[in-house]
Amino acid sequence: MATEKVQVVVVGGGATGTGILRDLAMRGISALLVEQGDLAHGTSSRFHGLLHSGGRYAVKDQEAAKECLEENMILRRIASDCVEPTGGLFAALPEDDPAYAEKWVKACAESGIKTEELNIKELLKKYPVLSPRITKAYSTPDAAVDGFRLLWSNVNSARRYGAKMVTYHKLSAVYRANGAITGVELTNTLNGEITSVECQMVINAAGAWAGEVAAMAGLEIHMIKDKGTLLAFNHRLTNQVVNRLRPPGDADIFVPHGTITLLGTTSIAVEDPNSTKPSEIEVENMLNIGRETMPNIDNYRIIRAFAGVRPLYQANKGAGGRAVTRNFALIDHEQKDGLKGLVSIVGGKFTTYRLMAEKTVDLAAKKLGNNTPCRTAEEPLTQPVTSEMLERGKKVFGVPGYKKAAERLGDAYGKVVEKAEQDPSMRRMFCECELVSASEIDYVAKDGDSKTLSDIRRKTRMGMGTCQGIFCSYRTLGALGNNPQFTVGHREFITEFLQNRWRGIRPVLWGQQLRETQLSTGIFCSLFGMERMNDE
Amino acid sequence: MTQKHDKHLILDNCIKCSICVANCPVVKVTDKYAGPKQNGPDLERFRLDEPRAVHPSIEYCSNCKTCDVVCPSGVNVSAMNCKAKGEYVALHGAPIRDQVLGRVELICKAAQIAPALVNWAANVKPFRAIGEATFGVAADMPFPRFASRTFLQQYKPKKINNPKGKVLYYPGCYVNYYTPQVGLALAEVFAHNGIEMVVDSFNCCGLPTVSNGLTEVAKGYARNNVAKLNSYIEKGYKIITTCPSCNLTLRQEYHELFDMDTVRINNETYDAFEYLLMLHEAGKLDTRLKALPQRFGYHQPCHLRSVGFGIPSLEILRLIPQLEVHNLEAGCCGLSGSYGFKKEKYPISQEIGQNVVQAIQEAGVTQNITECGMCQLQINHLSGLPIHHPIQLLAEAYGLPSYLPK
Repeated sequence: MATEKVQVVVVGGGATGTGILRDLAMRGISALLVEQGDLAHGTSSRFHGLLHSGGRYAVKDQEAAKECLEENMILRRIASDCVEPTGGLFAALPEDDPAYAEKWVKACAESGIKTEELNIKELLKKYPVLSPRITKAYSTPDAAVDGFRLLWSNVNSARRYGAKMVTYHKLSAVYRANGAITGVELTNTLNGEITSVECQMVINAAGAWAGEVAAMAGLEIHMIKDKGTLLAFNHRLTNQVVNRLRPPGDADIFVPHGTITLLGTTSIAVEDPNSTKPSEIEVENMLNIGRETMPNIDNYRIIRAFAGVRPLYQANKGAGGRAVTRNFALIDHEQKDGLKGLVSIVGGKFTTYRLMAEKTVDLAAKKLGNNTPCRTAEEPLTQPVTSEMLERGKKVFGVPGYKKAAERLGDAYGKVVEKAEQDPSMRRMFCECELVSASEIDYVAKDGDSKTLSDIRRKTRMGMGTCQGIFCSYRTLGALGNNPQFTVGHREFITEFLQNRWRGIRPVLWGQQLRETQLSTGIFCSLFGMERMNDE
Repeated sequence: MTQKHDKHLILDNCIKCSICVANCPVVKVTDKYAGPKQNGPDLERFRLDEPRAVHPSIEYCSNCKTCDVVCPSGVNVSAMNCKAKGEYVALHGAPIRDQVLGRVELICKAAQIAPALVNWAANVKPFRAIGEATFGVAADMPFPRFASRTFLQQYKPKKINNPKGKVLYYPGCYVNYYTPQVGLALAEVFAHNGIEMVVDSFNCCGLPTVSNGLTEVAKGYARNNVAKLNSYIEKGYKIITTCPSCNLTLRQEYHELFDMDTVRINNETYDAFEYLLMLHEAGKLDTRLKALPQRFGYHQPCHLRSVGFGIPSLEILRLIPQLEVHNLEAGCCGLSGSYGFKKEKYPISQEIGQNVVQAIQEAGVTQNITECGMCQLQINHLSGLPIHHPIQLLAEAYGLPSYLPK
């Protein structure tokens, strides 16, 4: 059994966990992040990708709104590659209470959120997809944020400061002695290998799994698990985030995200943090509401549905759904339960992950006797790709793809471009829907953290476009033949990848997406005979 | 529903089956072109956010429109490609060569000063070598020969009593400047069948301009032509073309590319043989045709296939006793207007055309027919065999002046 030693073990590779890892590392505290699946496999990739302006919370909770706004501005600065500054708009329909709109305008002004009333006629001309019934519309500084990319940027930055991170490792035991944490045991979920890690502190940032982690230390945290389902449309319906100007509810946010648009969400209480299966009834309900803002919504193609579990926390039980606060709570288990060395950070929103990390590490650092101040709001996550390198990228990947690749790859862009410069065959687009080159896939496949095709997908967007991986999946696997990681078990790799894609397609299986899936079934089940393989 | 909505909805129709790629004549012979799917619906998703998202390989699209024809999902792939090319040229500019080749109308008008001199100069080898080295115009691709007098100069409308129909003939640049005999033969056939045919001066349809990415120039042509055509339609004229590319452009492309309302023009415009077939079906076509005991190969132009009304010329020619027309069914001839005149595209164009050469050899024909002037030029260049417009055979079978070389 391998043993390691660090000051802090962070549990949970979501936005908060990776933010904490980076903060710890920047303050000189040695740390290891443990994630049971791939990075962002939990809620941090299963949300609408909205970087809140605070507008959504302004009426109900001005403090939360101010936090959102402040963090929104910080992330635009430190993570410009991950944020698409689309701007947002809040639109009211005749059935929405006009008094709310008035309250909202006032509350936004008080929270410092800049809004501007928009000319409805011009707005409809710009976005004919919007309902002509819109009565009022305001612009806000909302933005789109890429969860996968932000998390990896945090980890890459943390690694530069000496931090460690392992994916596909599950926390299997927490060691304690004399009322204090002494270490943890980790199990590799791919090969069952066990590692023990000596540490002074465990930070529980496991999100929806926080209760399970606390239970391992013999403690209880009551997490409210709230499933939210989202729909991905095939293209950008608008170039701005569209919110409904009324108290937050289901299916009232449209976020343009790279090539697609996300519509979300629902809010359903669930028991299991793994309950991420979107249901057809949720899809139907969302379309019913979304249709109010975009009357032609049924004509637009939905490529998939997906769901995430919000890890909500309410210290006093009783509330549920939308009534539960979206604020975060930092639990010092030394104070609360008398267990030294365990801190849990629960609840909160993606937008404020950095602030949550800062507060958590402030507490952890104090306990560890470290008084280095937090710098995560000042230092950018990645060095911006130089304009010279962008120009070189443009030559090999073309205008449509070179910037997107630079945003995805950040610091690794140079290596990927160089490879494509040396070998023209690496310039080919393996994923034609999302423009991911052979060079990029090759690089990501070899980065050491990619264990499955889905891992490559999350880092590159390969297979996330219109065809949902029909062509790029086998193309990629074929080309990765010289990579020992991917040489055997082709059927398993493809199956894992496709099943994950189909899981999201099943609830939206109509129209063009049904035709797409029939093509997919034809290729994999008939042409490649994958169904027959199962029987052998 | 607005055009804007249409565009996005059609974008959603693409299921990435790649049938357009598999059938693209350019992709078949070169890897310099990223293909119709990538340049069209794939990148169109990116262009909703970034209009400049155009792949440089777009210049290798020959605008043959095979992608539109084979698409099982009704995606207007070629329109997306044409617009993308326009965007690319607007951003990066077009070489002088493309700006000249795209403006067929201006070339033709300029050549009218001294057609014979131009014809002579166009075939002087050293001149062509200089043209290739300096401007990138392929020296080996022969230019079509200007007629000494244009069709519009030669045509004298005949007075027809109680006409069975009245039509406006839109000859297009090719017939007007290079092959007026086609228009003259058509005039004979129409007059013989009691159809009154008038002409007028029009702009170039704009297709060569679009193919070279000069979208704004083409839009100007389109506006003029649409206004003039509508004025004739209002007076009860049907619009007749003999060039499939003009036909396609007037009927479909103005709407696809420039969002113009051309519903009426689409309804009232006919290919000459489409119109004759209608007459025939109504029992109004004279079918007293003399026997033509000859064999011809027939090549279907890509743009005729793209308009989608079948091959009416083959139906009409079937009425001619003892005439044997063999449909070559060999796909694109490769020239695609100015495409094959470009130095870097000439080899591609010639290779695409090999299918036609092979089909001609297999059929064992020694003369051919096709509606498109540019296809005529390419097939003559590739095979060395004579080639004509099918209307000339019909005129011949009626015993009218057919302007076929004797």
